[in-house]
Amino acid sequence: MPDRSAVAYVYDGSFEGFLSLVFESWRKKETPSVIFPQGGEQLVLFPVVFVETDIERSERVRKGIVRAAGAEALGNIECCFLSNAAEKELLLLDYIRLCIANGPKTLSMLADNTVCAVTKAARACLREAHHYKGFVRFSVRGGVMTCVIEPKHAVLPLIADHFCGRYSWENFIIYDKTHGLALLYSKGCRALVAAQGFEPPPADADEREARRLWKLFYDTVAIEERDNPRCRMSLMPKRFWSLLTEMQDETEKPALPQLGRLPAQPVARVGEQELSP
Amino acid sequence: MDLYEKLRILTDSAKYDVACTSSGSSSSGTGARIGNTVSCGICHTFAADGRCVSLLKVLMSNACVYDCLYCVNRVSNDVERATFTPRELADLTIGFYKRNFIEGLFLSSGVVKNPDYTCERMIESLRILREDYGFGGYVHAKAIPGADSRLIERLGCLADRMSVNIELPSHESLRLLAPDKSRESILKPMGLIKERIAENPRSPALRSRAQRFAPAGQSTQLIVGATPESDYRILSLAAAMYQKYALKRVFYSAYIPVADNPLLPAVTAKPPLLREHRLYQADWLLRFYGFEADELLDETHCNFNEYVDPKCNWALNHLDRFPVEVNTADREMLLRVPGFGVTGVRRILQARRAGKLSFDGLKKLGVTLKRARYFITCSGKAAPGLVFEHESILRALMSDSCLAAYESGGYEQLSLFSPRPDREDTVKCLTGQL
Repeated sequence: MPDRSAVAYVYDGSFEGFLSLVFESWRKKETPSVIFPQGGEQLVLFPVVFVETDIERSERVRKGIVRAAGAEALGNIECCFLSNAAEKELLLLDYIRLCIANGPKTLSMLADNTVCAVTKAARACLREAHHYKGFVRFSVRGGVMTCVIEPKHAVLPLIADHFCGRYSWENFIIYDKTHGLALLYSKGCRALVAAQGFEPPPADADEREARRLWKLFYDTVAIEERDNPRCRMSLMPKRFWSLLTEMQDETEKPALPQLGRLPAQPVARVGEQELSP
Repeated sequence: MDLYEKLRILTDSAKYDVACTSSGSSSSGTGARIGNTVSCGICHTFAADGRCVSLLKVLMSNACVYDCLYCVNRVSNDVERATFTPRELADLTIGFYKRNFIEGLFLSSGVVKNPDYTCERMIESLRILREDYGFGGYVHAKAIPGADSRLIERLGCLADRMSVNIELPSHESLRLLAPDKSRESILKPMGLIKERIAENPRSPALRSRAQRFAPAGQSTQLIVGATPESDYRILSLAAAMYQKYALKRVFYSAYIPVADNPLLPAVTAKPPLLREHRLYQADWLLRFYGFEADELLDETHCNFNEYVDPKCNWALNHLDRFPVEVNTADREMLLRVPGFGVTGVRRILQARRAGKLSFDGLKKLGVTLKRARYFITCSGKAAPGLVFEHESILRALMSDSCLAAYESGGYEQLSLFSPRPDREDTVKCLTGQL
């Protein structure tokens, strides 16, 4: 690990901004002690340098990485950048340096701490993205499908292609509450935009009926003799449950509005609830 | 009867079908109005029994005219009956798909009137989905044994995956328990499907949806524990079917008692879940780890060890092949180390190109060493602090649940099929040779 200069870098938070910062770090031949995105500043003792995003420079760094270590290395860097790894910018700065020095071999240096950390962060991010491909639940109202997600990593860019291909003739919005991002799609056109405080419209009768049918399907398809809550929990961790229509009465606080009409035997159900302490 | 009731009845009667995978097919969604498929498959939720739900798994109808003893939907059983109309089913599928509840549809059916009529109803549902809705998502369709080959052909052109259930592991059992089905009526459509899949154009670019026949291949399912066949017999059958019919998957379904009949296990019998689990483990060894059925079991050892997994069992019986040097062993041998999986081995092979691997290095790769450490060396050295002590070896080689069962005196569920291995023998097998 190279010596750190007593300086902090700030960038605009975008990937291009980060690559411009990498360029700046090389140009000045200095490695900052701290890097943080604009808006996420911390109190530091070092002088703070703001690095302007420069598309041309970021493009040069991007091409340099691919030329030296291949597209897979760039893929790792992009995924790690989307992850919530601690001090990911410093980590990636080191990783990019290794890529330039060692070439494609860097990918195999899994016993190296930096390579290991980047690979793990990228993997965690991809894993969460894969989970979200399955666990996202849309509400349909007025020809628009909406959903709100709260991922740990900024997975939206990673799942965008999937959902745009899946619903190519539809209109939909996926709002990432954690990172303040929204994916907007309307019949062939898409946009990834910054967004705050988006609230999906309340469910109408059709939507409630669809949820009621789905909940019924979910409850019926399980085989009682094979009941295995531990297995379910490990495959579908609890942090995803608030997304899932079918899990709403199994979490304490329902995040979605009440699901449709009353069940077939409302009296018996209510009675049970009252009796249980 | 309203849709809610129909869905309840037809889900309940389809739930014993095992396959709920959406893998093996890949399309980006261009060309379809709604829907794509992803080759690795996507799980949309997990049911309370821990099984993945990726498809809307229902029967077209459970008003079956057949009388298979092991099946809840047999004609002689007193259950509620329901039948979807093709339009209802297609609308339900699209409604669920839009909300991202599912990857697609798994469509099976009891035999209504006759196999041809049943098959035609299924085809109509899929036609509405594909043609009227332009649906490009995943469809798994069951071929109905005894249906006309032209209908099977049409069904296969609308589906991503086809399957024919082999139901029971032997001819005799089938004759005894499923009098309306014959081995021929099951194997014939299987052969037909295999041939049609082989005719698919090689180049993906040439494959428009209409030209492809079941692009995600063919699978089958059989019931374990309803009849007395040994694990060896079942595994050999699976291995033969993988070869002969180029199957993508064989699914094993632990028999859950649904009928009181002297030919079947008692209604109180628990489903042989551990046995099913061992069969799946062995199935993976056949498909991804380069094992042959004969290496895992033979005529004298015809059932799996209840305490350790099949690979570990193989390793304990072939200690002369161990320890394996992680830095030099070939892929084939690394795959045979207990505790190493396909992903772990790939990472090892990748990482050792960059330099020698140590035990610490292995840990960084995310390779689990709990079992493997007894079977490997790194640069000639065994794992530091490795204790060859009875308790710790048992703890390392058995899963938690097996260890608990072993300590409390063993499982009940396998006793139906084999006398329980002697406790002493098991200890010897696990520790004596190490």
